Amino acid sequence: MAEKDFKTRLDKLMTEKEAVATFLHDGDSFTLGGALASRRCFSVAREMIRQKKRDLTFVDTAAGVETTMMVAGGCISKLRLGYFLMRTAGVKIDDTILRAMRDGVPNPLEVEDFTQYQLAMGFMAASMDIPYMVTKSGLGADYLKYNKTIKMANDPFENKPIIMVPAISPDVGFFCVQRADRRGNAQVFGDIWADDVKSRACKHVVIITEELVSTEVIQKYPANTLIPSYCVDAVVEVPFNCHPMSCYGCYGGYFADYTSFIQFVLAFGTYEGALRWLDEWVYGTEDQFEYCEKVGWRNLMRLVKMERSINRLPE
Amino acid sequence: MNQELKEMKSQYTPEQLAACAGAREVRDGEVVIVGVGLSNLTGAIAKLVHAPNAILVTEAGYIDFKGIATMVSPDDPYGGTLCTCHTSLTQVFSDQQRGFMDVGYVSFVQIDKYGNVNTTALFGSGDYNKPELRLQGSGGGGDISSSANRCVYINVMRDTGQFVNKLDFMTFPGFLDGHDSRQNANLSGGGPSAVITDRGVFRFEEESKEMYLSEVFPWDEDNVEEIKGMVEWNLKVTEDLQVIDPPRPKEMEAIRLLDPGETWTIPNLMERPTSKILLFGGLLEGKRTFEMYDKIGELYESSWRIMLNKRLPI
Repeated sequence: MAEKDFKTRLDKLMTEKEAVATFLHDGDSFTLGGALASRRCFSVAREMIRQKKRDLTFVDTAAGVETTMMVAGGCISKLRLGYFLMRTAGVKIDDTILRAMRDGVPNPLEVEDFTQYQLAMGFMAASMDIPYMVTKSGLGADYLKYNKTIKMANDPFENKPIIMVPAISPDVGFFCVQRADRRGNAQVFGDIWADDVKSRACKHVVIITEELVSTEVIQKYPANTLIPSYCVDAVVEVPFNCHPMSCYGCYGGYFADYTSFIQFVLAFGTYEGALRWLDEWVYGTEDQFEYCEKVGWRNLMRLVKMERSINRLPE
Repeated sequence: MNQELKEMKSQYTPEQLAACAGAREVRDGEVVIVGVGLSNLTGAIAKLVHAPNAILVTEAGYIDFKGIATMVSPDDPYGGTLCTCHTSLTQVFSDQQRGFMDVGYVSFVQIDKYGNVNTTALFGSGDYNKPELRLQGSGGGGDISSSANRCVYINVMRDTGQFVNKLDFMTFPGFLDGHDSRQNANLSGGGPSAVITDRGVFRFEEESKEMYLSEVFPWDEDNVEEIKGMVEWNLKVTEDLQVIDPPRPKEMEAIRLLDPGETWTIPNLMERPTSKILLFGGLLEGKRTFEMYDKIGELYESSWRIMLNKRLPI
């Protein structure tokens, strides 16, 4: 189907396996919604590792532990980022990324540094189909020295230096949202990060929703529809897709499911540990439902209770 | 150092010293954009203790959060609790470039004498593409240092490799080469106003924009040479070196309330209350029980319940 055809369907429901297989191809660039602790679709990251996607470029304002996971899984050859999580809870988890950068294991990794706002401006340019956006962020610093995609010039009106970020248009973006309908009207609560512009910048948009709802529910709170259906190519309903991290208003924890998070962090202290973790938690599970089964539904419901004690979605 | 001062110092962790000194830089009513970790704790202490009308902002899009717990990440769901506005990173940083953020808090890894910072990589014997140590990169810091009306850097001070002559990579623009160079580069924010550490507070000369030692804790009054020795260049020290108060009781109370997991009190991860619950439950043997989830849940929920109803200032 052509790009437009996916977006005009009335019922865009797919399974996660189908969505990853259909929209993400080897060599593609992609982005993920949310960021570090909330609304990051970890289930998609696990699925692309299972499907052995290769040579991908990941571009985003901030990369959390899912990125380390994808690098260990051999999916990524280039990172264009504003932030890397290299150390968390006082523990270093940088071995995987460093090995990839320095030794090319499991494959060589190229890195491009931006500030977060520079990236947001790149996504914004793409979201409006203009060649670039300008910002003062990063003037005088070293980004231009190493990142050859951005340029500096004097603006034609006041003749003062300004940084120009070219349009950044990933082939596909996967956005975790709290709820969406079958046509793809997607509602976001809490943190938004740069999903406002990212969702318009991507060629294909896949919504990963915690809950599939009727359009009537969407119509009750239209101001929360961050991503309207015309942006959207596919809708996937996956519960707890941000686990081990949180999803605002749905499930939380102490910034994450702390039990799973600490296991993850201890494993990812070394690349070898990361591979063992992937064997157990990614290759060892067929899909998100098996993954949840392994974490334990009762444990997951405790995280729901924790989040609902402070944040609730309007019903 | 005499015995009394030694005992006084031993009551605090280096992080607590830096956070409390840093919190005092916030004036009531200001708009404060905070990073993660220590800088987040610092903003939250200020709001609880002396700046109840401060508007705390994170890059994830949380505006005016109450701070029911110190955040590990800018999008921790409990950071979104009791906000007056949820918006996007795009909007927050646009607002910042517009001039709405009075002060930004960020941490640093390498810093030079004009307040430029590296948080991208330590090249060591390698280079940018194959660094000895890859760090977090800009995050919001490159944007905050570019556009916040003033910027406060905060971290615990290390013996070497931190206050350096030459950065491997300039991630946060400070005063660049000093004097007017920041203005000439067309950066909109006012640049760094202070560097806060557990060993003292550094500020910048009005004309040259060179960093100098401005304040120290009482136990360090006679240790200025030692502090200078941790800095690669010949650090200037102000003639009227001020002595800063150690953490005040209310500031320590704020940390206790904000940090039920004792992240900023117990340095060793595995000795903290949450880790003890996990270890007791058999985490290292690969066990995962509902009891672990329930106990950690209760630890935080009980703390959040108290904070949701807390009147500010404490």
